[in-house]
Amino acid sequence: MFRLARMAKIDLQVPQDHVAKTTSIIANLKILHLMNIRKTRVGEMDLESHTDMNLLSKYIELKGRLEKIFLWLEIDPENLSLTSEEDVNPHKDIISIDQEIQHLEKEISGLVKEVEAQEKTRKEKEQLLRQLEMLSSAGVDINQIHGCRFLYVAAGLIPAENLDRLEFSLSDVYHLLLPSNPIGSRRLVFVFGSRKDREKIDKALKSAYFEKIEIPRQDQDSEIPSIQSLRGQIQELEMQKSVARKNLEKVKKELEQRLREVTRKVLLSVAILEIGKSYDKVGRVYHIAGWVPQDVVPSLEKKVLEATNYQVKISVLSSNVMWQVGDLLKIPTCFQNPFLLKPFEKLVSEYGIPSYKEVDPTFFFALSFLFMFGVMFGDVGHGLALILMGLFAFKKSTKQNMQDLGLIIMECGIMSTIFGFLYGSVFGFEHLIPPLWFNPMENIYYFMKVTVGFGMIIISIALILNIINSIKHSDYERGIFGEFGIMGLVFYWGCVGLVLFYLTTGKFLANFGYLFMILFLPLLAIFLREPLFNLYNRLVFKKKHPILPKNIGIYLMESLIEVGDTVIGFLSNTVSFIRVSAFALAHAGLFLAVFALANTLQGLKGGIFWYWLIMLIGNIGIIAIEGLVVSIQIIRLEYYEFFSKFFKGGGEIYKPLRI
Amino acid sequence: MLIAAFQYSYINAKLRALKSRLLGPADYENLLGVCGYSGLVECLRNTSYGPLLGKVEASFDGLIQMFYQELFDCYHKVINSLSGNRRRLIQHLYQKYELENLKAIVRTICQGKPKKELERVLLPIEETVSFSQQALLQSNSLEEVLIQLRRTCYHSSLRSALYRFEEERDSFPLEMALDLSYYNQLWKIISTLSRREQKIVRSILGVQMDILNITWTFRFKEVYHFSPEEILNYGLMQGCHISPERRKKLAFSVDRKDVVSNLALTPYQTLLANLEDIEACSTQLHSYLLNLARKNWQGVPFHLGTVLDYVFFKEMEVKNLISLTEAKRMNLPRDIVADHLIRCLAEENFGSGD
Repeated sequence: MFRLARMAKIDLQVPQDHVAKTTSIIANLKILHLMNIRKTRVGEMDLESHTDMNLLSKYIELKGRLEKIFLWLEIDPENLSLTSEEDVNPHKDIISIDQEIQHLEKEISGLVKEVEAQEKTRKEKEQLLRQLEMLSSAGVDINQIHGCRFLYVAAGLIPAENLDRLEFSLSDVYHLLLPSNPIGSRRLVFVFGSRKDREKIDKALKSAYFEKIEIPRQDQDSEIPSIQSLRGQIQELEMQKSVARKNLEKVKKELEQRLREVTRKVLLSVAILEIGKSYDKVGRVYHIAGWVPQDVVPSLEKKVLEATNYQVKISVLSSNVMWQVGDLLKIPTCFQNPFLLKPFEKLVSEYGIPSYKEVDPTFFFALSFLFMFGVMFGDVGHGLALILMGLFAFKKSTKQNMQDLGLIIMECGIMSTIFGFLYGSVFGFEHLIPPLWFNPMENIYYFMKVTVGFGMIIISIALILNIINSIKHSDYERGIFGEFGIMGLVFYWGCVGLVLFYLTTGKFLANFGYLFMILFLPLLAIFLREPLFNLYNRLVFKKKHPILPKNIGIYLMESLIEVGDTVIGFLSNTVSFIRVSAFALAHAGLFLAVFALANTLQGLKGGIFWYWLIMLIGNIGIIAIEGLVVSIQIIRLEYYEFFSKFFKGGGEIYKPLRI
Repeated sequence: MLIAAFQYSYINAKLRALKSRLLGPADYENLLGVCGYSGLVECLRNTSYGPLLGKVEASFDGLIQMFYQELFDCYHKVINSLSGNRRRLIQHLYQKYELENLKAIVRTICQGKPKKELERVLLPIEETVSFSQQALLQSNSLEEVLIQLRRTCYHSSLRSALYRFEEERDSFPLEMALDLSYYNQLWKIISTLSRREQKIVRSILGVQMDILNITWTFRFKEVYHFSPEEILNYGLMQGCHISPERRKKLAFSVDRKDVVSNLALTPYQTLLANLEDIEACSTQLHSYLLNLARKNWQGVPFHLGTVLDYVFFKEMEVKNLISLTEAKRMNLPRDIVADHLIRCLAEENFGSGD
């Protein structure tokens, strides 16, 4: 929980014939974080593999043909998941896949063409019918239109969004626009204007993407049928279409399995060829390098070796070795926290990704976050409301981010409820239940002392984490003599001891020896950090560094400022935690305002209603606004007072390869 | 304000870091002063493009591709730092380059030219957002292109314009339909933002649309000889300082002088007075926009306007670098090159870097 997952570096030397299979396996296992070959020496030597782009293009073409089939059969390709352990080899399978798609096209295309032809005829007839109906309902005689000597009439389809544009462009020309019902994304429109403006109108229509339809002549000599007979023809066509559609459905059911298989193969092949760009290649052997958590190495080895008939050579650099070279290679950071702490990893990552050798601060972050939230937002009613809100977000949302947020809100709600019982507060009513600990408004100074004490604990944990991180990074200078190292810790605890002594006895400690040891000596060590560390290097490692820095004047000035900053920093950081109690008091203070307003309105007509309305709105407002403010304050404390003391960052998040 | 500060603190810090890598006035002066194309490449090595130059061939095409690649990388950095509708907006702005590639593909298919010619034209987009470029490249007809685009906002506009291509055998109506569809979609996305952000975004992107409307009007009149009705239909309905009535006046203007006089009471009139060619007008208008973005940048940083400002700075830098590269390849004199660069009007210096 405090440690990031131990990672091992794995190198697979894969013969060309087994690349696809190996890729398929590692992508399905979802445990290998691929190394970016281009950023390694191998990449710089231009040994990276070059995916067969012709083959990739061919597969993309096949994908396009499949999409056409989906379109014909009205299948949503999104529903075809890629989770199989398919034995796919893009190089070998291309011919068989191509043939299979050809067969599928052949089996479907006849029926599809029939349906499409019927559909086209039906649409044409429907369009004609609509035109005739519209004109006849408007009392327009088609023959009369054709007979107009001065009136220019145009009918056609225009993209719906261009209608305003067309109207606007014709605003200087006498005209009448008569839009009809929409057909797909377009609208059938009739335009009437003067014949002398015909050229202008035509240009405007053309530039508005108005697709003209010839207005039929409905006289005795023409072949245009009557409205009645058109309706009959359309009905007949629809019946024919439904029969053809049924046949297509039947074929769809028969072919669905084959279609699913070939789609999987194509998509998997495309993905494999795309991933192949990340490998490097020497001769006929591919080199796949990446990181996996140490504990899953055996299962990966077993699966790959068995699937490739032991043709793949695998070498693993264990986590112990990686620990030694951890600073040279960027090892990905893999969190391993329990379910309830997982959502807090994102908040930690917002500050930075811990580097591989660092302590994972998620546990401390989550614990202190929830504790502070409870302290600042302690109310049984509000806590329960947050639990319900969190539960709703967690259960109803399908998005991972929302589920994480829901979980955090739920956990905050639980802490809020616990502290609500400790404070004896339910929806702002302070005397409904007796406080199990104390009432914040009645014990303000005690409350402040408690939160400052909590701040001391948090800062102490930060200093300890910094010492551990520094040792892990072999940065002993920072770990021992740094302001947040051992010397800083001794100084801080010394100060804490003095404060505790004063609080418990009411006297200042005037022991010179103690003050010298815990206050002066650590600060002196911080002040002389560089010379002391140089001396240590000389004595232990026999390094021949000069003990004193080159520019002694500047060094002394900087060190003096650093020491001053350390003293002031510790003081201000600790005092900063008073805000925890301040916001808890603000929480109670806001309720006083809500109660005052509710009590005032209670005197009006329908007072009870107004009272409870104000209480309801007040509670909702407090949950929404104060909940947000409290969260921001906590994150501020975590990032600035806690993380800034030990967090090194600069890591790369572990992203296992998946298709 | 508090929420905005919380939302934009990260991206703002990131943008300021990214902006520090933009070319500054001194870099531009150095680039203008060098002799020839090779001098330019050497000079670029001392800028933030230096590390990238090692990886590309110093050929003209390679260099241009690198500029775009760098622009797209910046786009991705910005997009990855945003979420929700703000992300969607910047993503859409990035899609403008996808659209350029799409238009190039459509043009090649319409003209029946071999696909190989596309290699030089296509922008180096590795991650497309709305469609698969590789799949599009496999298309041999407009019908196949339509199939590939069926889930995008371009599908219906392209399909509606198809009859025009069949009648005229020219790709112009298709490209125009795609452009209009793109900007309609952009305006729709803007309207999904909060009111405060809509106002800010429209003040920047609206000016960009105004610039397009003005330069298109020039082009439609002088190159294509379109009628006022056609100009109105091919223009953008949205903008910042140009109202529909003014658009109409522009469309009905007799010549360029008339267009400029019809821009009275807008910030554009004084900028365009006495300018001879369309390119100079475009440069001057973009310089005005650069000025505007610089002013915005110096104000309160916690809003989407800052993001747009940075994106615009980067785009203008790439435009300037392309102009410089072309000019140096042709060994044009310094003054002519400088006239074609987008510059800050107030200070008369180039670049947006610190």
